[in-house]
Amino acid sequence: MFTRLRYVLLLILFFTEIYLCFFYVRPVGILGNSIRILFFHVPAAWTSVISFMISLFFSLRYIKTKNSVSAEKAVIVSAAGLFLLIAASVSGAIWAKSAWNSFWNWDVRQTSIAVLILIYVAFFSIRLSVKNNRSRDMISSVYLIFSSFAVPFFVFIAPRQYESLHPDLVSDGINSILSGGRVIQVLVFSILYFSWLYFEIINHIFRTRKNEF
Amino acid sequence: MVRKICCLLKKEFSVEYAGNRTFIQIISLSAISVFIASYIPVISGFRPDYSLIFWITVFFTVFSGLDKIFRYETDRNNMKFCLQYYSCEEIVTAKFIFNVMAVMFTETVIFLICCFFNNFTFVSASGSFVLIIISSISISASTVFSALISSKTNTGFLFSISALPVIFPLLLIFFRIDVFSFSEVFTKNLFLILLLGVFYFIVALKLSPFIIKED
Repeated sequence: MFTRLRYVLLLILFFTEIYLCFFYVRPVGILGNSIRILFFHVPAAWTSVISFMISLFFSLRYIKTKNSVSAEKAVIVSAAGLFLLIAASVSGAIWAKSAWNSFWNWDVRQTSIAVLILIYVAFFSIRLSVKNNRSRDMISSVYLIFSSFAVPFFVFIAPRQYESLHPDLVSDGINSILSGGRVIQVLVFSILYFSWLYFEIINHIFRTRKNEF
Repeated sequence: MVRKICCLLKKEFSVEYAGNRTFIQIISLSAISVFIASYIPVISGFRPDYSLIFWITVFFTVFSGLDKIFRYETDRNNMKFCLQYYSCEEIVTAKFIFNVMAVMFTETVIFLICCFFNNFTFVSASGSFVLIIISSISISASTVFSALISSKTNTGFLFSISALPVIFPLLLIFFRIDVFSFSEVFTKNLFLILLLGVFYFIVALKLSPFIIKED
């Protein structure tokens, strides 16, 4: 009953999100309509980081309990994280084409995200190349822990060490863009909505694959 | 612990002397690579950038050489024998120190070959020496864990796949440093490299028992 109610609420909020992104927010400054990509790009990047942190949690739990369910869950969450990371990268590239006139600019933020994608592609390569189930779970869990430590470095530290064209929410540069007020309101709404949607999807996958674990 | 690590290091050098011949392969591979990489720009009429050639050759040599460090234990299946006498941390530390020596040797050889082609024109020999030591520590620390994982999978290409993302941040920093005109300007970068190396090594040390004990 409550599940169905949550899904209906999510659907209503989805249409609200679409309305807010495409009608409520006005074109901003020199960025114009391309500002609307922000409401999908930032939540995708944010939920991907959440994914990798959850995969770290499940990997640590596998190391502690040796329960293969945790390893399977870590893989599912990492796959979701990789998908979201690619989505963030593609949406960022589309924005870059309009803002910087180039899909790929070798900007430090783009490069660090590309390296993160490579790390998680390597994770799936490792997982596929080990035949023994127990070894596969252990090696992939340990690799996930190792790679999860790299996530904060590539997302938060490395891009701030070098000069970047990428707008930074922390620095003052973005304040001029956000001064409209509506942008920040919709951005916060988008982040919260997509985070909830992400947890619902992951929860749904866990429930439907319960018998396979 | 130090004594046990010394014993393991002695074993590594004995194995190296008995048959692996990694060091000789390193010299020949790096000499050929530097020669070809330097000669291609010369044909096109450009002056080769020896600092860039140095780093590229180092990384290619590292990728082709360091994946074999756990291969001896895996192929001969004598890891269980080692584990009866030594702890996982001791084994990994010994491998790391051996790696540092191998990479330092590689870098020195490549540096000397590059220097020869560059008419021995460099600003600070001591600066370059410090750079070689610190870079070899960080490269070894970042690759030892990937070598351990790839040894468990019996596929050679996996080392490159798993090591490249880890080594890439180092690569980005190294390409900014000119090995021939090393100065104090790069001290901040050098500190960052060392910090990354130490971080990778500590994480590898803590996680390695789970991989080593897994059959």
